[in-house]
Amino acid sequence: MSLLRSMASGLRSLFRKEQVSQELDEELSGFLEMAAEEKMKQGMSRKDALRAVRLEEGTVEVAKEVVRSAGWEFFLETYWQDLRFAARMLRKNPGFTAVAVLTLAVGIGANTAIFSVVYAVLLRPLPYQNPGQLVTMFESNLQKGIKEAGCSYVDFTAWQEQNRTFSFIAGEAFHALTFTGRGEPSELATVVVTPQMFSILQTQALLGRTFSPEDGVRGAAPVVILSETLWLSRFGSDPKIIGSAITLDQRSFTIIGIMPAGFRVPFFTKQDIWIPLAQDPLFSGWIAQPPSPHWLPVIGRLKQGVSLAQAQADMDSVSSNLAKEFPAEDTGWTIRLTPLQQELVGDVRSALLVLLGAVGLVLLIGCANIANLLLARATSRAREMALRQALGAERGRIVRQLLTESAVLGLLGAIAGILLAFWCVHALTPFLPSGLAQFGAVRLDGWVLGFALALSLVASLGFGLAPAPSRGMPIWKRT
Amino acid sequence: MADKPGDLVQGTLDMLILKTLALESMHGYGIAVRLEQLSKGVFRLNAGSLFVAFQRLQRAGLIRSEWKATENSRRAKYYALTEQGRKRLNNETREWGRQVAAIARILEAS
Repeated sequence: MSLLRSMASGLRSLFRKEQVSQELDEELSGFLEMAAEEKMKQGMSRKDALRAVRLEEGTVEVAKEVVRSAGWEFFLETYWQDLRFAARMLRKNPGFTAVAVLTLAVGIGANTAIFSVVYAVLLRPLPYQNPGQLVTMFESNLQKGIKEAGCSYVDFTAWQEQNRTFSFIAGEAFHALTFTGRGEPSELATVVVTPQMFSILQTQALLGRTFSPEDGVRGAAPVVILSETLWLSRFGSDPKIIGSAITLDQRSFTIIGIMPAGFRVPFFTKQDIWIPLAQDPLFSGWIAQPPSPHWLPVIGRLKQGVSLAQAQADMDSVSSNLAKEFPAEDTGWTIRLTPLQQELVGDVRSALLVLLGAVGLVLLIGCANIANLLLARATSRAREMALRQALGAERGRIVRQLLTESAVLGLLGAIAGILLAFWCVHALTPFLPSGLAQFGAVRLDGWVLGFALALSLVASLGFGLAPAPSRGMPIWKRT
Repeated sequence: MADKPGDLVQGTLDMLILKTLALESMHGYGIAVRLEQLSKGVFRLNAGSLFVAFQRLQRAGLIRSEWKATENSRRAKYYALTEQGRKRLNNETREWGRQVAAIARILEAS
């Protein structure tokens, strides 16, 4: 409440300056008048009385200044002055301004571009609920020199039954199916999953439902889920489409749900439709028969509170059980768990961090150069500083002015840098690991822009303080 | 405690102004005179610090102001306590009494 009143009163002083100043004037001169009258009652002449009051109280102007500078709005007002002065100074030295802004633009632009990639790849969480619980499960067989392979379907079903640390595990594969019967025949990018995949990713259907465990049983009625994009382009977003049938590879599939546009099962970039693994003519014929090849990539969701190490220990015991049970198929195979994000990022992590460090150094060098330029300019401005100090400017006030100037420089640099980063990001995108491209492109969103602005502020603080007078050293000596 | 006579203990000026206004609304000079009289000349406040305090108290909603004619038919800004100001004065008076008594006990202990 009192904050509101303080703000209202401060704003009034800012925007109705004349009136507020006049009121204060009138109030103060009334005060001095009354004090003078009091003295005149004691026998002083009016002239002497006024003189005495002024000696005691100071002039109206001084008192006004004291009152004015006590409010918060005074800070804003002087800051506005500083800003205008800074802009004037920069306009007066176009050469210096251009060099400084360009240097900063290159530094901030490069940093922003690399950070936007770092953010998209390493920092931005995957678009699933509790993405930290998602784990990829691959098999390896060092005796045979196989570092990473999918799992056999027989093993997968055994994992499902025997693990104690996962709420769900699911397998996935890719297949292109031919879609006929409505207009032009076309090939649809089909992700083939075991039904639990949707329970793992915890994304709700936009319309209809996702797969239930029954849909994954061999011999169940064939069902399909469409992506919103396909639903829009081929079915005109018709909500009555749920429950009707479409023909895929000359078999009839019933549409049971629509997934929102951003939804992806990890690893595959293009995804039009999803069908249960058991319904895919390519896989369903042979998957459950031995000898089973290792082909199925598996993803699991850890139970609440289970660590990766606990899950790994659990799966180690599962795999040693399997090796005992099926020595012919499973001897030598072990299970390797990796957090999903890490698996998707691959080896890019350290390369990106090195790159970020490199562009950080570029910015640092740029800042050092600008600091040098500013120092050189400070020498030529020594006279101005001396004058300001002689007129009573405090050291803090002069530092504030210098920092404002460098902050304006920094901000201009940031704007130019962000424009540069826009261009850089387009140039960088093709070099990203393809697995990540599916989770939304690298872009300059709020976080990245915030990073750029913070960077410019830190940078301008850094080079802005270089020419500031050090404590206890009068500025006029620095020539 | 004070460097020169008349220096106020930090933070007590607001309380004293509120106290002065507890009986009736007054203009700035009136408050200065009343403070000087009641303190028997110990507290002499200059216009600057007094008016800064008025601005602060007004922004905190503890006093309000209004232009009125004085007894000498001069125009002056009169300050008055708000309900909130009255509460604050009571609280501060009580707290002040407690502290003074405590300090006195400490100083008297031998």
